[in-house]
Amino acid sequence: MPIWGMVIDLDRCTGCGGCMAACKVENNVQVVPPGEALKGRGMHWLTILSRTEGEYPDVEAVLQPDLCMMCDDAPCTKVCPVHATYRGAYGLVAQIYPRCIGCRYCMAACPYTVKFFNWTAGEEGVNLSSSLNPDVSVRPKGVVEKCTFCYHRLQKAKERVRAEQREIAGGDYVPACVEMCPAKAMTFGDLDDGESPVSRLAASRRASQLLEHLGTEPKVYYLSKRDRNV
Amino acid sequence: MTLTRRKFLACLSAAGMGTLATGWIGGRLQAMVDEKIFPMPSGVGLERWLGTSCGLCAAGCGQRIRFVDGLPVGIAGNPLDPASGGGLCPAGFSGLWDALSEDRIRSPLARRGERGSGRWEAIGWDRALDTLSARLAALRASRTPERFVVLEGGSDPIRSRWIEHLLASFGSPNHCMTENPMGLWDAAVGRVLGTGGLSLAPDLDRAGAILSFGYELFETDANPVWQSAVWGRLRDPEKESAPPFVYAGPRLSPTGYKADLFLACRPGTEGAVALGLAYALFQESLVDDGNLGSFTSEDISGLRLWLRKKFHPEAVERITGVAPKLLFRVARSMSRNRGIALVGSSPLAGPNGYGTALAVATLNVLLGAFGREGGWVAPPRLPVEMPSRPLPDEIARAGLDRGRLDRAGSGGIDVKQAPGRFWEQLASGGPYAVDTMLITGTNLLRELPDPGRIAKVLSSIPFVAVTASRMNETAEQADLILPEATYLESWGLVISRSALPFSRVGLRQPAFGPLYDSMQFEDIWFELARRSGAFEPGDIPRNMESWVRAAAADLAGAERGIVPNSVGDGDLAAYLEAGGWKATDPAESSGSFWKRLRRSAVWTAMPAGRPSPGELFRAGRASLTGGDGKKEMEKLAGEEVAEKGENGDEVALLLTDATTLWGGRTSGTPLMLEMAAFHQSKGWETVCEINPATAESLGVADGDGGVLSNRKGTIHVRIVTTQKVPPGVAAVLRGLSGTWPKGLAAGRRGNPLELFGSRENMMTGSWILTARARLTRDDGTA
Amino acid sequence: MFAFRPGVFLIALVPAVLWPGCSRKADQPVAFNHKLHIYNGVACTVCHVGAETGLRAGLPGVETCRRCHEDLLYESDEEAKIRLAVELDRDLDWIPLTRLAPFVLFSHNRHVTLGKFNCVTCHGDVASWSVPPRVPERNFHGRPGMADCIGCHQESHSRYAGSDCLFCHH
Repeated sequence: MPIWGMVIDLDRCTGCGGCMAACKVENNVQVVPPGEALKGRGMHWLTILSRTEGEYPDVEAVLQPDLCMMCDDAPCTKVCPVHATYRGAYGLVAQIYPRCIGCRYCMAACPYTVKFFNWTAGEEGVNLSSSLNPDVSVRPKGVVEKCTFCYHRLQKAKERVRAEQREIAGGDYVPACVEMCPAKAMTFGDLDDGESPVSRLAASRRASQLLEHLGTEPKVYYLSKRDRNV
Repeated sequence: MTLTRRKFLACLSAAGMGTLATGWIGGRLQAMVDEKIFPMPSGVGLERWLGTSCGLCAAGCGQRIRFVDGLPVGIAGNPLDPASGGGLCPAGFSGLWDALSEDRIRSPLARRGERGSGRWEAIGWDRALDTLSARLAALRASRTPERFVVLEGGSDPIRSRWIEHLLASFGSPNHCMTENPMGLWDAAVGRVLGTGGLSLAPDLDRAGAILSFGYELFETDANPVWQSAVWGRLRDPEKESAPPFVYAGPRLSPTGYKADLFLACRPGTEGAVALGLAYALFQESLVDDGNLGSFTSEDISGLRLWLRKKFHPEAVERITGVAPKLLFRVARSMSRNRGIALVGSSPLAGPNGYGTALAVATLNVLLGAFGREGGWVAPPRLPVEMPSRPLPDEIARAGLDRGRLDRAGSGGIDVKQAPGRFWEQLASGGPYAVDTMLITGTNLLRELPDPGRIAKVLSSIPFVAVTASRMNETAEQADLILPEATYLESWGLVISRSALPFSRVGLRQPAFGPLYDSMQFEDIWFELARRSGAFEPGDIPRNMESWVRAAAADLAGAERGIVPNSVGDGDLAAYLEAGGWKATDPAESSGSFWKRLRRSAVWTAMPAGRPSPGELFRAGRASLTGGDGKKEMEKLAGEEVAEKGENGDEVALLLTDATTLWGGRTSGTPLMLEMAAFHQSKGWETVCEINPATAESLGVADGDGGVLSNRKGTIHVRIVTTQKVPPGVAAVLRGLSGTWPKGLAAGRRGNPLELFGSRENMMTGSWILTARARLTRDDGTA
Repeated sequence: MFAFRPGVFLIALVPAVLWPGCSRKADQPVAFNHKLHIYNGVACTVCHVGAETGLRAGLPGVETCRRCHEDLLYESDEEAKIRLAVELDRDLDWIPLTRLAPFVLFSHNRHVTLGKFNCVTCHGDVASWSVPPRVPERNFHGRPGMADCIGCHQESHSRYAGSDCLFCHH
């Protein structure tokens, strides 16, 4: 069984934001009205973080796509009282909406702040597109949601590979963000397969994980030629 | 509730609404309740994809529309497109939001009451087209066809060609664009090369080094998706060395983030930096002689002497703030790596855009970049031909002879558009009065500087018709609104503009029929022409679909080029090295070509061979220092650049663009408004970036609401403090305005263009976008 | 927009997956006779075209009915309704009886073709009905819900039918 993981090459990434929009439409993530968004209730399963160092004009900046790290040892799963978020098949951190009671413990526990509470119900034409992706359910108000590595695509891919009478493998599906990346900065695949592109990149000297010292073992790796300690 | 088949079909025919609303078979109430609680998708979940081309900017990236059970449910990039490689910019994902918006105009509307009163009468297409064409016929009858003006946003080159094509035969020279900054670059290149206005393409895939003067590779300059794809290839970890990238400009833009070196200069001084680099190349004997053969030795030594006098490093440092040491470092790196220099639309809209363009063109000559592999190359000719234009009759010839209203090109500079002067001429009466204006593909009052003045000018025009798919500020001021289909409901061909060094034609085919009784612009245009009485029936295509089919036959008959049917490795450099692709199988019928084209929605070809560098220049006319060129560049050293404010609390405004809003063209969907300024993790509001030092001196803080005001206007912004902008400058995001989709942030005013006066460059007729304003904290009183 | 309240589910513990039809009775637009059609050799998949290969089995459009009923087959009011619908170019508003919650993936293809299930296993002996069922003809025990799925999924020895929530929820 593959263990899905992602490598994002920050040297290749141009911060174009395409992944962010692709994620929103693929996953029917609602557009949070501006008043609510100002309260910090905006929802982007994938955001582009911006970090600046130095003083003008000796200034450097990095843009970094930020999404659920699918931690192998995920702090969020340990605090969920109802088993709505847990480490599921393929090493994915699941978020099962009908189980979620909206206590938001997991949001507090997540060191990466990539889980979002749904404060406002989606409304078609205002918060939600009129053309929803039928493969992804629209979350109701009152639950926590997050990036799923486009798990619904895996659900479909599993059906396809079974019809082809073979086992699912690293290249059988990619999330929407990876699929659309013009700079091919994102690589997705099986971390368990040492020969897969994603494993080789994750093992490269440029690779690092966010907040490695916490021991959460994220399955999203970043590549950068810059010194990782800066 | 998702889009159901019933609702979707109802959109397709206005008449459908009524009939479908009345249930006639039992169980409807129950069905409605069920639909509310658990929407049951009809159909078995059958998936289908349709290839088409995006229509939100001129790049026209390949797209695939996903249908499930016949309903459009998603947009993705088209991996067969060699330019985008399956990528899209954020706005590219907003197409369905846009097309299926509840704000769509439902039928042609005629104004009732005062202009701008918002009272409209729904009229049928026949009446709408007759109203407009009757005016056109009257203009022809009175032998003044030049008084009909078409004003266009210019996001589709084929559309532009059709407008120009039929307008010229009608007798009006006034096919006008709202902006055309890259026209200055083309004119400058044409001047230096001696060829007259010329569109060259940067061969970025093979560039040895890239120097960007405010050229926003990954934002809104030219083709950001292709440029991002190129960047990914240039930074492929498998490659041994990555070409150095230098970004010059006043603000560290998101493109600048990727730079190996940020060459910070004062706003509007990019041209002086380029000339400083030119000096350094001479000084260190680093000039590449690849392009010099086309110039006389007096010309070259003249340039050298002139640079030594006017743009020596100390002078350049005084003007731009760039230290000599840095200049020499960049010059050495560019020369060693055989670099290419690009200039973006933002510096070109500065006070001396033409001089800046000339300076960068000069620098490219000294780098030997023209005609070189990895430099500026001639884009290949496309095999798509427009039908021959009907010869203008006597009335039309007289109209054309009266000349363009904006007198584009009259300043001795080969520009085809003078968008700034256009409004000047309209305001002052010009050589003749405009009678009828057709506005398409643009929302002037959001996208152009000084919207108040533009509204005033519009109100003085006897008849204004606007094509738009949704109500906007400009449409509100019109006499007649023609509901325009979005690109997802349209036919078309996307021809690659000068941004691409290879040929690419994207097919645009409708994902669904025109919604809400709308028509695509080209079909409206053809029908208008037909009814104006100025054409023979054979002069005008039946509709755009029929023309697209005919043009596709041209592609099928071309000697080279393919319809790709499987994803390559995406390495265009490899394709380039192969020197082109196999020609279409001559045995293939045009019918099967059309089928294949519809399936992959893209045609592409590599040039068989490129003209050698020398062939790009016109011998005897190429000139570095001749004509007004030197005078224009000399202004780069002048005081005009500095634009010092009188008061200490004023900041210089710098307009920024993002691929979410595209200067206002795509700011109509909640999706894009929400992530409008995603680089600053902000949305919905006009973001104003200032240096922390500026914030401190003005008494404002990060996250504050702010008010920018000057004598032109007042707007609300959200303040972001960052070291990416220099002290004394405010970088303001362009594209938001007071008119928002229903229920979202209504009443906010955040269009920075309201603060800009409508200045034009006297020589070129282009806009000059400079302004200063006071920034204060928004205490709710403004 | 349907909004379920998480609190309610906490109490109920088992969220409903299949919408219970008990509370309502559906009157179908045409009194369709399953028995007669099956007797005449019309296979399930003629009308429920996705039953073997699709995500959903689907309900037939009037076009499907027209193929046989365009010309008079029987003298019946029900058949007349079909011809009227064809004439007016309107679809029949069939009321789907078995409704799946929108956050669940259930693929007919996977269960019927890959998993070799019979229609009867879930839908009961619809083939023997001569009037359209007014409530879901189910042979689940008690109240239909996730328990009915998970029952099979936990018992099944097929490694394809796991009981991880992620296998079906999306």
